[in-house]
Amino acid sequence: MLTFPMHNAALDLKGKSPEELPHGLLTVPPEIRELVEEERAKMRPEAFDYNKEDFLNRWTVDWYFDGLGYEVMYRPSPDGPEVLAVGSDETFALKKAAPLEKRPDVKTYLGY
Amino acid sequence: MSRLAIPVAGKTLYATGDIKLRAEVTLSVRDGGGQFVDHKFVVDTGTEVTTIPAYDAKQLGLYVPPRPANIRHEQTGLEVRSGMLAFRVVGMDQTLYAVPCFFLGDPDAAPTPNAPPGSLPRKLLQPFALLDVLKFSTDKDPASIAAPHGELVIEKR
Repeated sequence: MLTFPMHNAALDLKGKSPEELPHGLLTVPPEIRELVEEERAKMRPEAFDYNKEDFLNRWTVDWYFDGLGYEVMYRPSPDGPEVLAVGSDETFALKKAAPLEKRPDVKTYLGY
Repeated sequence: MSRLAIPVAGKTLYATGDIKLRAEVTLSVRDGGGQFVDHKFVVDTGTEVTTIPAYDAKQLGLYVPPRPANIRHEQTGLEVRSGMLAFRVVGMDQTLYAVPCFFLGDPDAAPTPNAPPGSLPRKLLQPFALLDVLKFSTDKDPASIAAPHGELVIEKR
């Protein structure tokens, strides 16, 4: 059973520049796995199955980047999100290198 | 008719356990060279004017007035430059829309990582500015598997 307040990773990352923030495959914290499991009881099985991977990936990115104010681009996977770019400079570079239609599997998270 | 249904996204507020809800739309923004670059915006009726960081506007090559307006953005305290944003809505047809926009903050410097969260410029789309051409509505189908929190529907008029 989760208790609040929870101490998410972003609280310890405030003040870091985009390049200092986590990149690559993020470790899914146990708290996020538990939050995802709590959703199972709130929705029909087919709805949970449909949304489970999105919850796992989006909420993991949120755990690390919530409130930092940066745009984050990531590639979701069943094992968790792979962060590809953080902040304006990196996300612009990624968008310039690959237009939207060439990265259909890449998601964007707004850290505010 | 062009129509886009955007699932409302929910996430937990770690401090209290409450669920925060929002709808985000991806806009294909026309840059200064006439190319289109995707930017995600929070759809926000409370913003009064669409906003984007001035630093992003400059990277897009948009015309950013050299001098800020003689006001500060009330919510963030940032300097304001008034401009326009032209875009397509990703997922809809190729119609080009334009809205007045505030470019927030210093166009020559990315927001500092030590800035308080409340002072960071955000990408917020004010939907009322588009009501002549687009219809916005919200709905929730209990049978939906893709939108457990409901959805924002955008339709071309």
